[in-house]
Amino acid sequence: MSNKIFESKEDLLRCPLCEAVNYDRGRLTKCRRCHSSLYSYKYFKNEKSVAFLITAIIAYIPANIYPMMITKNFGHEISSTILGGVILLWQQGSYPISLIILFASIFVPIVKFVILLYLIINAKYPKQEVSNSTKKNMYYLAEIIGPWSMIDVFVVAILASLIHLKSVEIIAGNAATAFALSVFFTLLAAQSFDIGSIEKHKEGQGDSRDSKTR
Amino acid sequence: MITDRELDKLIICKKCHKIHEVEQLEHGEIATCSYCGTTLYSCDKDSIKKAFALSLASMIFLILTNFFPLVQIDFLGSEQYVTIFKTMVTLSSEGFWFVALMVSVLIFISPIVIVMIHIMLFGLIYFKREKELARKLLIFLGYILPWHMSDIFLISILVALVKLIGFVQINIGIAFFSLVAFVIIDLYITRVMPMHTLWFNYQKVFEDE
Ligand SMILES: [Zn+2]
Ligand SMILES: [Zn+2]
Repeated sequence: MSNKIFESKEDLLRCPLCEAVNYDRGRLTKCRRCHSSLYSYKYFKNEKSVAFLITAIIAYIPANIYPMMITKNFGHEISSTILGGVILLWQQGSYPISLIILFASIFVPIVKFVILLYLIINAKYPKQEVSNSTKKNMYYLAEIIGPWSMIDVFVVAILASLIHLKSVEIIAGNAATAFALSVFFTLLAAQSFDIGSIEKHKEGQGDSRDSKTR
Repeated sequence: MITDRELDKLIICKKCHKIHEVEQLEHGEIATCSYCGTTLYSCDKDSIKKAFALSLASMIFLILTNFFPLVQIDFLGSEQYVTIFKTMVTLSSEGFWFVALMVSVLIFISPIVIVMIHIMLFGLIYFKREKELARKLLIFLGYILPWHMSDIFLISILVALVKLIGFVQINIGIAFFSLVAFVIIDLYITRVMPMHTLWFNYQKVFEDE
């Protein structure tokens, strides 16, 4: 069944934790149901989110420079970076796996960085060329694809504990720590980003298509 | 002004943030967002009972997953196996303590905590006991849910196995199959019992007398 959209004269906020509908009381308020902090777009500055995101982007640099996985084959050592691993798999003909790693380790983190960075900057210096509902869809996309970035770390963890043979050995590289840190801080950045700040400039600054459905 | 009671009858779409009024559904019906099509809520009269039984089943699969080998390989006569516990031990013994910590939270601690919260929560709501504890469990569940990645770990095992095909002989272990079962049940529970529905059931049982 398709649900009718409710027309409300009041500003209402969705609690990200328990999904309760709350009044937007203009200042830092507590959710009426779970008492977690709800930030109103009028006063919130995504400072925490910015700090987490910058940390995540910085950690992503060594994650791509250092080797992710080191293979010791009869004393012969091969170390590969994330991108190196993707290229190697492609050359070996494992196209699906190569594409999965490319998507999970390169595409997902970069898309998340770009989306969050764009939303944070846009909340601070609003321009209305993109509608609010598109921005909310962008945030939703970042949330949905986020966990996929852990695939390569898990794969390295599995291979490193499985391939410990006399002749062949796989060990994790330093990029694993950098990459895990990057994922960790991206998750924190996404969670501390306030979705309400997208709506910051609905009053008096156009975008009437969206503000009608408040 | 809208009262809290009326606010409880509203739901905001998690994808497009449009506000909807919760309508009375027939058994088995599903309400979707008329703007973006996302599932908002559904109606199933036995959902708590079903979810309680399923969460007990998922606990059994989770225990099997954690205690048995996921995969075992055979390479030129030497055998190796991997368990969830062994991945964490290997990582920390090689000095990757942060990765080990993160992996253990995502695939070991969070799943166990979530399953235990589910069992207690569905039990408490079903038997109408311990309102305050149920409330605290619900709040904690909201915090821990994003830190659970069993499903992604399952995909990672498949990726790792495809990488190994042709080099070694692979034997799939009991833990792998129970992980598949756990992930399927877990996905089903979070589908029929999203946060909004859980709180809705909580309020129906403990607050509407
Ligand atoms: Zn709340
Ligand atoms: Zn929607």
